[in-house]
Amino acid sequence: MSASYSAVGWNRQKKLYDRILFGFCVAYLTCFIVLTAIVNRDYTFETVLIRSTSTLAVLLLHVILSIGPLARINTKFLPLLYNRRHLGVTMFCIAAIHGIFSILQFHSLSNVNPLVSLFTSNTNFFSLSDFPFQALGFFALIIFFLMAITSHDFWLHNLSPKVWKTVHMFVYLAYAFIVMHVMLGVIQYETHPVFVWLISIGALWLIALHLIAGTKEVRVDNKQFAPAKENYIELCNVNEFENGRAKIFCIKDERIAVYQHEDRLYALHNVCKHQGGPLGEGKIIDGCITCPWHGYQYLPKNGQSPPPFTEKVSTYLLKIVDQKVYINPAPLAEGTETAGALINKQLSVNQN
Amino acid sequence: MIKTLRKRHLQTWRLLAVLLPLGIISAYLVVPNPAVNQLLQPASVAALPVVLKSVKKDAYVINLRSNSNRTQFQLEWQNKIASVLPSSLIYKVSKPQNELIGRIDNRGIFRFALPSDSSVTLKDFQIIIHDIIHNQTTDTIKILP
Repeated sequence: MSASYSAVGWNRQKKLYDRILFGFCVAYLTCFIVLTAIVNRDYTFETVLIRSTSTLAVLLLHVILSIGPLARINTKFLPLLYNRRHLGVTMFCIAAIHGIFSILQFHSLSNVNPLVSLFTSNTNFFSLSDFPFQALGFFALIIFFLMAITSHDFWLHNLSPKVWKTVHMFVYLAYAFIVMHVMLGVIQYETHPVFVWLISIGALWLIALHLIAGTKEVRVDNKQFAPAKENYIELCNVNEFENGRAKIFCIKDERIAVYQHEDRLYALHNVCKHQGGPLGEGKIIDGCITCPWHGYQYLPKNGQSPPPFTEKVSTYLLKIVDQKVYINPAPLAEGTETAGALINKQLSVNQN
Repeated sequence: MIKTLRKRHLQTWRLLAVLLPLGIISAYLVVPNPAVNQLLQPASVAALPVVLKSVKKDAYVINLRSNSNRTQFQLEWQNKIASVLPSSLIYKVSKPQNELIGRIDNRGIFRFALPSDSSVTLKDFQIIIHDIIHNQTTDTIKILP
């Protein structure tokens, strides 16, 4: 979390994450190149580079697309989500090396502009086996490029989280392009079935993960509550809360995070102002509710980020009657202070 | 995430759950079978001892080889310098359809077994080189006695 824009808000975790990522990429590329040199000495360096970067980029893309649903299925994966953008930018850089070297290798020796050659050397758009697969890779790379250059918070704030998220959902289209780029490209003349198996397993893994995570979310969204009595809806028993953690409830299509902070319960809108992260899946650190995605913080009593930050989320009125927790689902204005509901007393009502 | 966005994510993956397997299966089904059989030949197979015919160019040498009793035949492609084409297919010109012999890369020596009845057609043995990436024929070579 930062009060002003900087290229990267470095901290210990980000540095560690990036070192591991960099080390893995270097180790992968080195192993691929060395093994190829041992097994087949006739390959050129350009060919090995094109192949090693392509496989690494596809592998990283699968990891990137797995992190979101994994974090929704199991909170142990949330630390991976924290720095997913660095992984995405790294993947784009590696894919760009593949794309640039491929264009140089396959299209730079003619008297036609390489990019023109890319789209005119094969125009069999209506043939599946001869489909110009390189164009699919090119368009996927354009999407990754747009995502990489807009990955910074500057663009998030200027485009608004809603537009930014919508733009970044094009990664799914890019993934579909990549799958078909592989299937209509290398699979058409590489004979070993391992390539087909790998890309199929990767696609099935992602489909299964996203469907499981999505279905789990639908269950939370569709949970039914008893009708409101005097504007309050019964949520659950007060004993179900853990200090410093929250339970999430979906009421009237809006998710609300109810946090226990010391001896009181506080209710806030579940959606972080930064990237729409689930505040209820975070925890209270240094007295602040901390978003699990990128560490944005809010005070439990008023939903405001501590100064000098200006982010605010809506708060809600709570009360506890006979060990049952009740909420008034009408949101208060963003940043409105509430007293919370005192857990130790049998009856406690919020006061504005 | 807001509910609308969660719903959009799920709908997208439901769509991909149908389209991706469909795309993968369709693409796999159109993989050319003849190429699979031919391309499985190892490029490093041992050379047959007798050179029947030979074509020498600046960039490559092509040899038609056989064993001593002419029951086995082989096409040998030697790249003298790195070719500008990263990967090409060699076809033997024949009617009604050209026969795929094998795939060559831009460096190295490649040897491909020819059908045992090749002696009949060796008099006018002609091959074409097909660039896989650009999907076009880049060279036609007649191997004269």
